[in-house]
Amino acid sequence: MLRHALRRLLWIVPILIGVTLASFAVLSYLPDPADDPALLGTLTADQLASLRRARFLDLPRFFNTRPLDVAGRVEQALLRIGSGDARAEQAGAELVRLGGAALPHLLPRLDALPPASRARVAIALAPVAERMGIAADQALDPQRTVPFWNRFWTDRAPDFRPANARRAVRRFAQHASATREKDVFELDTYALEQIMLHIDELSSPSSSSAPEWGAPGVRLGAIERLIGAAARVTGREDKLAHGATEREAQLAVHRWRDWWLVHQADFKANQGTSRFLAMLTETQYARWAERALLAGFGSGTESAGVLDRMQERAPLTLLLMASALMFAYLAAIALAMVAAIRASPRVEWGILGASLTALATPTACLAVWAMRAAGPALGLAILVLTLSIIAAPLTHTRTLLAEILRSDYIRTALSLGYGPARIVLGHALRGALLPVLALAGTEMPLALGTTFVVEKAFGIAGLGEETVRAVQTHDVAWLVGLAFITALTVTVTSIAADFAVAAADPRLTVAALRHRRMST
Amino acid sequence: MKRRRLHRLFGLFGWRIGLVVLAALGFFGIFAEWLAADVPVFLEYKGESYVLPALTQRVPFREGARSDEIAAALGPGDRAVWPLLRWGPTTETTNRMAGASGDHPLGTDAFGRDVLARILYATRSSLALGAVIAVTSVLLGFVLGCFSGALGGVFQGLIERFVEIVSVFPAVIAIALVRALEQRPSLTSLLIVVTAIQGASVARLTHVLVIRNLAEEFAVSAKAMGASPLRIAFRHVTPHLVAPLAVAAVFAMASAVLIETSLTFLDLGVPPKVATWGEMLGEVRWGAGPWIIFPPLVALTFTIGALYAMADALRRAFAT
Repeated sequence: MLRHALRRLLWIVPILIGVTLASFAVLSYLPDPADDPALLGTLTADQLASLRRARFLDLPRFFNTRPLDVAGRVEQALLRIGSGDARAEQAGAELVRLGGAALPHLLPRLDALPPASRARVAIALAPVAERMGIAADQALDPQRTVPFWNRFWTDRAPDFRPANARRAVRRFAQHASATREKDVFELDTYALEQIMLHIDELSSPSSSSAPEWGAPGVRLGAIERLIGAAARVTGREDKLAHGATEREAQLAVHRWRDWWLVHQADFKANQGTSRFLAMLTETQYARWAERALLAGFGSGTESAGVLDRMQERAPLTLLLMASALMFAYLAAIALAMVAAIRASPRVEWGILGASLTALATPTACLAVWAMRAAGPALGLAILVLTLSIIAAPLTHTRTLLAEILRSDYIRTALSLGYGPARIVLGHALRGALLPVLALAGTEMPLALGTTFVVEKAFGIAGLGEETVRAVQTHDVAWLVGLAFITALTVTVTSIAADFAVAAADPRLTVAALRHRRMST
Repeated sequence: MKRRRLHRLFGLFGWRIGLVVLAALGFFGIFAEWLAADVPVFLEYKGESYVLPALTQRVPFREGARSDEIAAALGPGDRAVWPLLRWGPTTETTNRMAGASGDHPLGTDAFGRDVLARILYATRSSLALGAVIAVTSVLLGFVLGCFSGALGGVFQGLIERFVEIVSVFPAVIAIALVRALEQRPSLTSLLIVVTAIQGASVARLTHVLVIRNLAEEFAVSAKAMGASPLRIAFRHVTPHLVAPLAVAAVFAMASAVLIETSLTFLDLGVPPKVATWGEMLGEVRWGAGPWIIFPPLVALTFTIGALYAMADALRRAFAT
């Protein structure tokens, strides 16, 4: 039993991977911005490239044979700069973008380059020197720039180490002073990874209550400083104004995190095992899954993240659905029991007719009519939803009870002289209850659709409203997030239901459970 | 044996009434152009004759011409045989939300379209959609279930995974996702998604039935004679699956019609301009009175009721 339980739990993993693969496959049908004729006319090549990049379309789907890290990008840029034509200019801009993170891979090789491209590289780096706030005039002078960078590297090479970057960023986050700021700025994009790590740490809920950050203003100030530094080294405009609120800070952190998710490979160097891991992680699927898991499915077209919006809207939908499911099952079990106890053809027909009517009446009709008749009320919505999902449990319980009432132990109880009420309540119900409840778990996907209809008819601001809006605005992030979360919930519920059934009836152990997967 | 069962089936009240209701609705759907259209059923205009111009799209007038314009344009030598109702399903008039009258037997909706004409065309699209989904999903489920039940092993694992993954996705969300990705909504994507979801549950059913039947004597003796598992499944077991799969098909059609109604009500269903029951139910959004839901409601309830009655009769007739 335990072994089977573990196996069943382990099966969740491939199912969830399958679910992510299915969502990912659907997503890859989103048209590529580069193929969209409407966009091609209005956007520049750079904007188009960044649009594609935001969806990881520059990466291969599942396996990257040559993952590009900062060292690889430097390599490419050096090759292009050697050519000396228009591509050299682009490569120079690329070097400036890579900034400090590129220096450890670039400066030691400066002397090995042919003289012409050596000078070109050194001059291209001038904006970086300016950004770092060091002797810009020397960097700009074609005569002195190469010796300048050589000297820079002999002096500063020890600074460009992860430990130093971590220390500099930490000191800068703790307290703002000119020297500490200068330490971070002189590392340029080399400090970016640490900056993002610190922003993550500072914006996490655990650090908002940590004693070292004391008053909330201190923590927000640190986030503001770090975002300012990141904006300076990357040239992005997205800064946090002084005196921003907690909510604004969260949104800004969210945007920066998303940007970092897309661009982090440009500023990190792969060493050792991470070089091989990058073959798997530097792919569309892995990046998408990372965004889904870490960033709560991205932010879609809205500024708030998908998970935040879901938290806002899910309680209402869940309340509606859970209470309707509960009422429907209670009522169905009660009705089926009454039918079993009274066991008269009239009651039988009544229940059959009722369940047929409930089945045949579309929820939309019922909901619209109820809304027209009595206006928007949550109780009424729950009632309508209950009526529209009652049919399945009613017929199911009825057939189950009928089957159980024909079995031997019931006949024994009858022959002992027990009354029908006692037999149904005391003996038959126990066997029927759990299979019916197990059905409730599998009913959830269907009930969700019905809930959306009721929500729409009653104008309830739940998940359904947001989903309909997401379809109209092509907000795919929301839909994928919702699909994933519901699939997860359904999987876990159905497994829990399996165990509940097996626990109630020890005969239904391994063999029965194994077949249940297909047979329910 | 088989004939006796069919005889028993046609003797059942539920089957007969269901068949009559469905046939009547099907008749309305199939002959919608004969019953309600802007253009005549038969037209002789300027020496040329047109048969069912609504279907052939060969109309000698401007597109979207209304019946009164056409009637006015007819000369003395021209002849026209008009349908019972001279309104098409998409013809908009200024006479909005009118009650029942001689001109509009069921009134008009918020856009001044004739409700009776719309319900006729909606019957066609809803029933056709339901029937197509029922047939394709049962075929898909049957083939998958037979393979997984007969072959076992890797096939079973793969098909089980497929079924499990499909069945944890709520239909609404799957459709919503596909709709959001499309440039413009299409009928095909709706068909594919609903077919996959319905097909998964049919595959489960078939799988269990195949496994159960493989343990029967006839299957064991076929195996003893050297028949391959697939041959046993498709040749010997399949006749035993006809009745339960027929029931499944009827249920699939009923739930496909209901799913389509819900989806269209949520603006996720068939493309706009196509009249379906769900779309007609949703018209209350534009301020039409609650009476507007009664025609589609009646049609839907009759359809679903007829389908369930037929499923019940099938089950009884083939019960052993």
